[in-house]
Amino acid sequence: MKRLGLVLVLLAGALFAATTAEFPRLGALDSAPSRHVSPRYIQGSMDETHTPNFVTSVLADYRGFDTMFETTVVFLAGMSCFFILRVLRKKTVTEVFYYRHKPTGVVLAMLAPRRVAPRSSSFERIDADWTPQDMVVESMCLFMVPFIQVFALYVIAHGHYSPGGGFQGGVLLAASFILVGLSRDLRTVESLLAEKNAILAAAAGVCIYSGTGLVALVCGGNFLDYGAYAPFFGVAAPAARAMGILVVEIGVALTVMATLTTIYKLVSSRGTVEEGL
Amino acid sequence: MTSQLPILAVAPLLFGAFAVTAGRFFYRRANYAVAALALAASFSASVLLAVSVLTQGAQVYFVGGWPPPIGISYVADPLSALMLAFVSGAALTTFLASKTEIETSYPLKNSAFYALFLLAVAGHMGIVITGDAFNLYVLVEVAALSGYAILAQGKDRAMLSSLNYLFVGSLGASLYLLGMGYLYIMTGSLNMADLSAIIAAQAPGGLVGVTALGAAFAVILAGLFIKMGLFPFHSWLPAAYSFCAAPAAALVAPLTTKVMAYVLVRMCLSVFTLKAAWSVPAINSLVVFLATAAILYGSFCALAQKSLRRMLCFILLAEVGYMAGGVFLGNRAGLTGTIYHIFADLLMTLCLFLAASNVERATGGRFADLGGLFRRMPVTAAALVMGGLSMIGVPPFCGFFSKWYLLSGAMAAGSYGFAGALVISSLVNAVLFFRLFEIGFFGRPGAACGPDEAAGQARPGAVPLFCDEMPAARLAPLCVAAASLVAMGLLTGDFVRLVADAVLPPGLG
Amino acid sequence: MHGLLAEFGDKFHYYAYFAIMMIGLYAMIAKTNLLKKCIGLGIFQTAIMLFYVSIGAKQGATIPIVDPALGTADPALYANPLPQVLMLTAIVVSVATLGVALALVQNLHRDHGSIEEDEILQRLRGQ
Repeated sequence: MKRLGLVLVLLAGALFAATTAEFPRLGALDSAPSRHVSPRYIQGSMDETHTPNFVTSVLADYRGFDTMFETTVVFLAGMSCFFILRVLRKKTVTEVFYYRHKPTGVVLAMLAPRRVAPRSSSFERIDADWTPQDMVVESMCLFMVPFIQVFALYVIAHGHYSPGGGFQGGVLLAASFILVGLSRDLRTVESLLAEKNAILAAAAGVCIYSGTGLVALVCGGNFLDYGAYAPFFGVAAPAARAMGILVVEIGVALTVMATLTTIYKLVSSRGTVEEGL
Repeated sequence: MTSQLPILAVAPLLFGAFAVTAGRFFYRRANYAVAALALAASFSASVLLAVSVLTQGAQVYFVGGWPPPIGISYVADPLSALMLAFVSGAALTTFLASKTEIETSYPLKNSAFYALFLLAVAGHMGIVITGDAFNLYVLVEVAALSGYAILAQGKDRAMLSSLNYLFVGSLGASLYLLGMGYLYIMTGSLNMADLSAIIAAQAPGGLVGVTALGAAFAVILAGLFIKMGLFPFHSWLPAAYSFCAAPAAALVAPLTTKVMAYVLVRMCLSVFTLKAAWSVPAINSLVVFLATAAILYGSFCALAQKSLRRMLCFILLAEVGYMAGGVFLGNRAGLTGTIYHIFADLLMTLCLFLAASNVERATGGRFADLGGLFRRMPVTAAALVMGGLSMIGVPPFCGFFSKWYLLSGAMAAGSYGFAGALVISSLVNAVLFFRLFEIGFFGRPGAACGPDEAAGQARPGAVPLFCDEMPAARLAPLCVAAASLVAMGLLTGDFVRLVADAVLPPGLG
Repeated sequence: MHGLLAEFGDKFHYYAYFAIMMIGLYAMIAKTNLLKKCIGLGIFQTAIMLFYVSIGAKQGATIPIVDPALGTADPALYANPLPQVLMLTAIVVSVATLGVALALVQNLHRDHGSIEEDEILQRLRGQ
């Protein structure tokens, strides 16, 4: 099988290489992509959408419909992971609960279903595969989280003017939650962003995007035509487009953040969302 | 409002998916009704669109208000509008017939299934109506991702089969993307109409000798054949569709392969014009050869199967061969046959898979357990008979007319191998289905069916009528699907005139 | 010979992308470990993304954000934004596919205790 695969792959590679005869050189200024359609984006973006970043204006306005389905793909990935992995039972799945007495380091193992949690705050619940956490690592990670989140919000808001936008900012927000999950434990992430809220946020994000499109329909334009909002806000069409781009980027960021955090929670806890990495 | 119909056919499904997701946490019991409502809204919009397009002509919808090639466009011509109506109708029928099946197969995760179902249908509908080649890729991935998740739950082999389908399907979609990249690097455009104009200008005599565009065509074809399940890229299909739960198979099986065949027709018609698509004899003969192999392989493997659903999956492989071969026969009759067969096969697969899901719920689906089926489940068995006769190619069912067009196309093109395969496949289908009818009519029931107290002093061996039959609510969509086979057959002339003749170039031989 | 070298110099990046693509394809076909197959899929898709983004490169051009000093009159001064937009979409789709694949592999490991495809098939046949 491996030898057959190697032969097949080498043959395919040679065939592909042979098809490059007519391709333009790297960086050619007169290639078909450089002459057709894209000059319109470069020359028209500032005037038509008030967005200096051509990539954002193409992504969220000229070809915004693609991006709406892309956001739907992200939402779909979250729902699929939920559908495939999530272990839903009426009672909790974990059999044994471990509680550690912080001053002395003694660990108590309590058997479900008679789950009696120690009331005292000097007990903390730990995972089955807990190892002593380094205080320096944990504190530094938690210290960095607010900075990451503020930077993420900056990236979302400045998608118009610098490289950035909804996807990048959403990933940064999700990374901040995952950092909390890695340095503390999964239950902390669950208390910060519960599973139900995350799924609702993911659905809300895509709803913001498609809702923006639908309201444009109601306002008299085509689907996702942000210019239709202009008379209602008393601004010129380009400014309305810039606002429309910002709104959909926020929706995208919400969905990406919620979905990536949900996928992390599900994959790291084998679907139980109780004990994770 | 007429001008907004193209987007109104897809939008309710998206909003329905989100409503169902949110409804899971607030009011779970309404979720089935919400999802059914979304499907019904989408179906009505697509029917209205189809009527409007068939009476008034093709419509182009600029999404975002930007004209192509700057923005993305939705193109509703007779072929895509009617396909849209068929896809949403098939999904609605499956959904209405599968309520109890979904609740039994996916306990506690109904709402997630409804959301995935709606998004899968939205993806397939978007594939049908889009006029932008890259938008097609994104929608193929939307449809595929929901398919991987839906097909993953079922018997114990379902998970591995779905993962295998994921690898092969992603490979196919990536090859399509690569082919699109070749087209983009040579033309600079992504819009289908624009591409067709530029390709016609760059390659006026056809694709022979034009390396990059010819390679683009070949790579796109390879990607589409993988996603369609054409021999020899078919290995994912029987495994993925036979181990999953019944409602998942009933949703995905009628849709995915037919929509990919539609994309093949669309690529050949609208992106590469027919003149260019048929200009490389090597590709034509290779595809007809693969299609012939697919028909023979599917038919003969179906003979060896011992369960109803697996048999249907292998018959599906043969049907894919019909569609792929018909496109590359190189004449009008073949292409008309393919276009007609896409719609006919959608209806036949829908009818057969819904009947199979009823049979599996009652008996388990293996042939050994199907004895006395015609007495136990008369309505389901009748639908199975109608679907089987259509597959064999008996008039007035629609299967006869598609075979007629494909056979005349094959004879006109001189592809006697393909014609022979069509005839052999009809004979093999006859053997398969008459064996099934024999077991169902004359066989004795394996397990006891239903409580015997109601039958009173029944003779041993006599089976009460209707004892295993599904409730009427579950049978009604099945009856509609079976009736549509006859309706499609009787309306063949109108269909060919309104759809195929409208879409194919007039001077085609 | 000189022509061949010039040809290679012009097109070497395409050859590199196809080489990477074939490495990914080999991993998907020949490896039995399911995670290695996922990695192979990722490599394959990454090579296609590289191919697209390189289409948009222009000699002497800057990033596709308006530079006030350059203005927007001459499109040759800015890199082509369209392939970058398309590949943003493709990257997101690739990540989503990877997420679903990992969920399936997790479930397979939970049910069969292995992520080697041949071992799982053996276990399934043995049942």
